[in-house]
Amino acid sequence: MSALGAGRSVIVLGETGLDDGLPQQIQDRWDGHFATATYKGSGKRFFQQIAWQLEVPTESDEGKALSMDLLKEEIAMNCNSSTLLVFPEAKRLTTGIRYWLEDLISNGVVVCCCAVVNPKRDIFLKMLEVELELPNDKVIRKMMRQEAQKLGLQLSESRLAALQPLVGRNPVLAKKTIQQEALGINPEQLPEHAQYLDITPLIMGAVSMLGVLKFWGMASGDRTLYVIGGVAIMVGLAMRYIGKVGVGRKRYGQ
Amino acid sequence: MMALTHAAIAGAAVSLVLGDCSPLVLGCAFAGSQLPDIDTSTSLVGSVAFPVSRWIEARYPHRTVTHSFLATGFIALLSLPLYFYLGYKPWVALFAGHLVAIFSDTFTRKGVQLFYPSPVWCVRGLNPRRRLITGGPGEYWVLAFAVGFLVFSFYTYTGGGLIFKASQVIGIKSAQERIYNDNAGTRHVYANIQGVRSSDRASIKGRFWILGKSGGEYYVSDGKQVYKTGETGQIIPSRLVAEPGAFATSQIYTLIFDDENPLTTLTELGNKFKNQPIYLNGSLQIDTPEDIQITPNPNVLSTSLVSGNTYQQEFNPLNKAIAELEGQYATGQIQAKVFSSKGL
Repeated sequence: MSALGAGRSVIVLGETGLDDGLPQQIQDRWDGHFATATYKGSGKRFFQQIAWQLEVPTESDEGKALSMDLLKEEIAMNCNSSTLLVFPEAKRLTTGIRYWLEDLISNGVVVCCCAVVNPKRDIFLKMLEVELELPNDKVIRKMMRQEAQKLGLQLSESRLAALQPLVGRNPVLAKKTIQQEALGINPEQLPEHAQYLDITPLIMGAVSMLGVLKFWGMASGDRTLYVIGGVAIMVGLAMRYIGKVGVGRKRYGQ
Repeated sequence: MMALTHAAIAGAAVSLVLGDCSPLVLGCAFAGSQLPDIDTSTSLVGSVAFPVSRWIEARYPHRTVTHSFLATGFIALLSLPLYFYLGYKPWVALFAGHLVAIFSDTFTRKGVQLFYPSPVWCVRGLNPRRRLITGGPGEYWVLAFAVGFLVFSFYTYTGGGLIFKASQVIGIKSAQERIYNDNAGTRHVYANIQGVRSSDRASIKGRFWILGKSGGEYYVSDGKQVYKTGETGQIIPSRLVAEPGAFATSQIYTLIFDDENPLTTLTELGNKFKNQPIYLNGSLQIDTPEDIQITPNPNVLSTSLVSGNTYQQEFNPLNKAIAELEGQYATGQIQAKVFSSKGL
């Protein structure tokens, strides 16, 4: 919020669901003009949404609806450094919209975009990057409890604790997992969150370290250690290849 | 993973690493492997320690705080008295059991927060479809392998240890020498030999008692005759695996003769160590060598030889020496190797 207050445009990064309610929170703390819009396929509707929120006329003096280009011009004329535009779905912004925003940013308008990952092109390159922190386990548990209550579902603390690993720290998944639980779909089969660390290299490294025995055996003249160490290296190599055994990932018709 | 799988994996891994299959060490490893699941009241350990599990599960997701390296360190610290009262192995087994259990949970679909309080879930392989489901068929395969390893570990460490067993399986010559050197002072050592007879290349396969060693070769006995291994001996082994047997000792006595009848001393020695195998080594000068009749047999070691006035012995059984030296006067010194019991 301090970056926005300083007149800097910002791209807010976070997992899907983390930025829910963010535009409202920003609006509550912003003193100047504020508009938020999500591009949903129609450029004209997108600009009309912004214009209505900024109280910019969307019709000509003759009562005719302004064209998209005229709407752009009209909005640009009515924006200044106290105007904040928030776009929750940054990746949906078309090239035309981005180029228009580029001019606005040069004129001092503050823009805040939300995205899962930074698209890293044109206007986004000039924006400050802010990473949203994941909510803690307590907040997620509370959300799960609330969702369960909403659905009239009685879930024990033990069950909630068992379901929480499937959620990670994502609020959207917290609700989705409880909804699946209410429907009797066992969501334990496939966790969806992305807060993973693949420790395969650590395991391979540990097995390969047994290869040290080979050199120990060589140095001490112990041929048994030499053989065991050599076998460990080969087992490590074999595991590396076995780990690459692939299964069909795509479904028929995918 | 199921409590049984955790126990089997931890038991196998800990006993293999520590080289100990005692009930105390295995018990500590089993106990340590159950501790991570104290964070849910539906687990075995959670049911036993219900108030604790209830408290944890109300605050933390399953497989987080109790499934972390932090918890392993905490357990190691809390169980430090074990180190002082029972030694390092039970202490290590307890926290290593915990460590193995949390590590094995990374192979399941949910994963574990090994680095708690960091919220990252550690898994083995990013595709969840290729990870184990708790209680699924894959886990039963893991359980079967873990039990297999536990049995292997038990077999290995009750039979002398991993290195020893590997040496036996591989049959490396230097390793057999080490096994012999490590055990010959306190036990009978046997040689399981596969090979051929040097005289006619007939195949030989059997268990022999090792009487002694010279250079890289062995003097062995099948209970009746004495043989020497190697190209200069009577048995050319293609594979020789040493194996320690029952507890036994051997002593070397030096016998000195100064132009005297050796039978007196040899008979005294035989009477002193009745029913104990005695083998003689060394050479004596005798006065009437022509009285000694030795019929060489190419298939067995000639434990005694006469060359000029010299009577030479190589692991010559005492009774044979007494028979051959009857009526002789001998000068010189020999060694008598006296075993505390018969090996074969």
